[in-house]
Amino acid sequence: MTDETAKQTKQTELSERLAVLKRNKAFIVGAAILCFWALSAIFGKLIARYDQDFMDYEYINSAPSGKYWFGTDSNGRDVYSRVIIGSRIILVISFLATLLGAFLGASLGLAAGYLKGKFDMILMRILEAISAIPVIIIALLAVAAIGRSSSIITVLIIGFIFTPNVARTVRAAVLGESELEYVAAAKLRTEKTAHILFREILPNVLPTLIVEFTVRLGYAIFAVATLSFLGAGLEAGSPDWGTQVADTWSLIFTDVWWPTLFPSLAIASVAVSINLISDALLEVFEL
Amino acid sequence: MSTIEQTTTEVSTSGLSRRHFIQAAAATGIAIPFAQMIGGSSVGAAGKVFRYASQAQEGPAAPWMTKGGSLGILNAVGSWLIDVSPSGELKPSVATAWKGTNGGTTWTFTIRTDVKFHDGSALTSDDVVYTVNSHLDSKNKSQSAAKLGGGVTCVKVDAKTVRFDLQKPNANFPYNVSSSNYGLLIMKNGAKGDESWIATMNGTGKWIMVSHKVNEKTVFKRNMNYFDKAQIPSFETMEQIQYVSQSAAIPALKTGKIDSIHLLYGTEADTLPKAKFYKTLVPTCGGLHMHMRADIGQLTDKRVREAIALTLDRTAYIKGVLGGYALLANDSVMDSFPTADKSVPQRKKDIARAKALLAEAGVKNGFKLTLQSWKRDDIDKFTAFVKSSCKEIGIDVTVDLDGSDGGGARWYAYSVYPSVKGSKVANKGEWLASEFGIAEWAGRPTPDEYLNREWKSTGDWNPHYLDAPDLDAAVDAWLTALTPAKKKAASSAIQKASLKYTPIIVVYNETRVTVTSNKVKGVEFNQQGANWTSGTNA
Repeated sequence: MTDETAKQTKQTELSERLAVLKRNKAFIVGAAILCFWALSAIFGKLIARYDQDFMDYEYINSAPSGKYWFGTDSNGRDVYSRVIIGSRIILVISFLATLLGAFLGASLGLAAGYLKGKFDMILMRILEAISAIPVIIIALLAVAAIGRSSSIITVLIIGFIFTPNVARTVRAAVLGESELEYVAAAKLRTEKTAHILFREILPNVLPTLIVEFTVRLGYAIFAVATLSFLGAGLEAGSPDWGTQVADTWSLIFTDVWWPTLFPSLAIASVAVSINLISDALLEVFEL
Repeated sequence: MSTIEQTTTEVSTSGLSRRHFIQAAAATGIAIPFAQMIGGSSVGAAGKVFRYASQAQEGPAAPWMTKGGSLGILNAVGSWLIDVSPSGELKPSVATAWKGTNGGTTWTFTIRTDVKFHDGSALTSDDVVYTVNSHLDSKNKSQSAAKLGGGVTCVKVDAKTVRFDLQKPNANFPYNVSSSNYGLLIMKNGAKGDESWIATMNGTGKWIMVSHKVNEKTVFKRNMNYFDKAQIPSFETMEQIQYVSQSAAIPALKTGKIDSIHLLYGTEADTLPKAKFYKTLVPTCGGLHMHMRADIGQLTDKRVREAIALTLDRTAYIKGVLGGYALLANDSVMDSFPTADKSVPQRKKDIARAKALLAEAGVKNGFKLTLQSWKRDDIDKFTAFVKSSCKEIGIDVTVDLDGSDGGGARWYAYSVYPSVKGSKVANKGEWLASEFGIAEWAGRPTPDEYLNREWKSTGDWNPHYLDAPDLDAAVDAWLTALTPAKKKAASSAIQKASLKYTPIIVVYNETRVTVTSNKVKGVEFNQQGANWTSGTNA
């Protein structure tokens, strides 16, 4: 089989899988929910009915109504508007953190799976040690050590924490790929290691990486929300969903449940949507 | 030598209509407590545990290191020369009587002879003199020393008398040695009031410390040797449980795990069923003080500071967010006190004027600014209010609240202490070295401490670093005034200077709300948040 034929076969296979994916109900539902939040993140200020910080002193802890669809919080702020606007923060931070983790993890996983030997063994033991510590503990330790928290720090911490998991997944895929003929052929052509890793092997493990990316994105949503809930995330009073839940959860005991429920539902809906997409990808790519 | 027979003292008490002058309170105390005359005690009614939720500690509960949240613990184990009741009145305690002479520059206190420390030893005037001098010794870095006022000396006259000599007259001096200066609880001669004190907490108060876990729980047993037999608690044990948020204690209250929550939001207290819980309200002159640095940063122009103050709709905030559980303040601490000059115009929200001031100051389009403090329910809400309000004139406020150690350990780190007049110390993100920040002040029976420590340019807790001679002069005039007329004139000058320079924004004076289970009656907390009486079983 020539290179051209092999490429065409792969493209046909990919088209068929994407066609299957488009018919997958879990994927459609997940993508629809995620699209809604992505649009909210981009056009939040237009979709929201009030400014995120606007306080209506006449409507403190007001239940959901025609004026305030999701009710108001203890500062008289519109919960609906804050949930919509807050989507940008959590989505952007989660996406960037996952991207960072995927980049670092894929690079390490490619190198470990391809180079093998002592490098692989030492690197994997280090990554295993890191992933043995619970995510939130590492994150809190990092925030405590740095002494401050911010969006950038949150991205860096979560990206770092996700690196070992991505690396292990990619490494496993690379181990299989590195024994195939096209890798041997590249070696015979005396291609540089970086070329073999990123131009030859990476495209072939991309489906694995994409699925891993979606799985990690789901975890990142939870990690960002949890860090914010614990006060180690973003600016106090920010419309970020985790911060909203942290600021309002105690109101539940005074029968004011809406400022907590709606951001919680938002977190859950994004996480579920990403999981649905991830499951569909796993199924379609038979990983 | 003239004796002050009729000194006027003003006290912030429960609401405007009930505020009053306590004639001669500072001059002569009542020699024998009423309860002692009638004898008897309420001991034995309950024989159970009283549990209450209090705010988180900002620092160790040690006499020299007093910080917010620790006063409840100190109040339980300690006694002072004089107590201040929830309504702001002076009550004899370790001192049975006190007298001001020499125009208010000499104060003499008569000490009880039946007071015992928790270790069984008797309290003497030596202990009193030692306690005061240990605070005045600068190497101990006591946070209570400045509350005594400058140039104070304390000497033993005889076994049951001590004398204070002041450089300047002060009609309110008895308050400076009262429980409102809560670090000044009487320690045993030679004891250290630093962190080591926490191990034993050897005080003379009505509760004896059994166990203490910082920012978790402190357990006390009642002191059957307490000198005021009528005040011996009816409960055998008291547990002070600390929550990061008072609201978080509501489930524990609802399920009977605790009996009382102090400093709950009024709006939240209103949601609890009246059939099971009752509220007690203590209007205070305390609240949140938002300072703006006059020496460095973006707020050095007084027009900018005034513009920020003009964005705030105080009345709406008090009525809406605080549910009416506060009194309007007007950027000075004088509003709660009877000598406030009510003719000074109140500051109201005026966005047009605020924008004009910003334009005059050359920042027409606003700027970015960081507001710093620590995480607490009322501060969370207030910062949201400030952020929302400042947005109206283009000032983009980022809120940075310290949640470390559960109680603002970073915010009250005191790496900068004391404040130095005119200092240009860099912003370090803590109270006394932040450009734009908020500190919470508990109520005080008189405004003296606020004025002397926070507002005056030479104050050790001056977070704004404003150097305004006319404000300083007005404060000095207040501190030394001995008549109501002079106090009022000084108050007026302070109010006007505060509005002129706006070093600190004071939006409201809080009404402290305590919610208690109906199973316990008579629970009271004072203006500062210390448990005044733990009540009895209903």
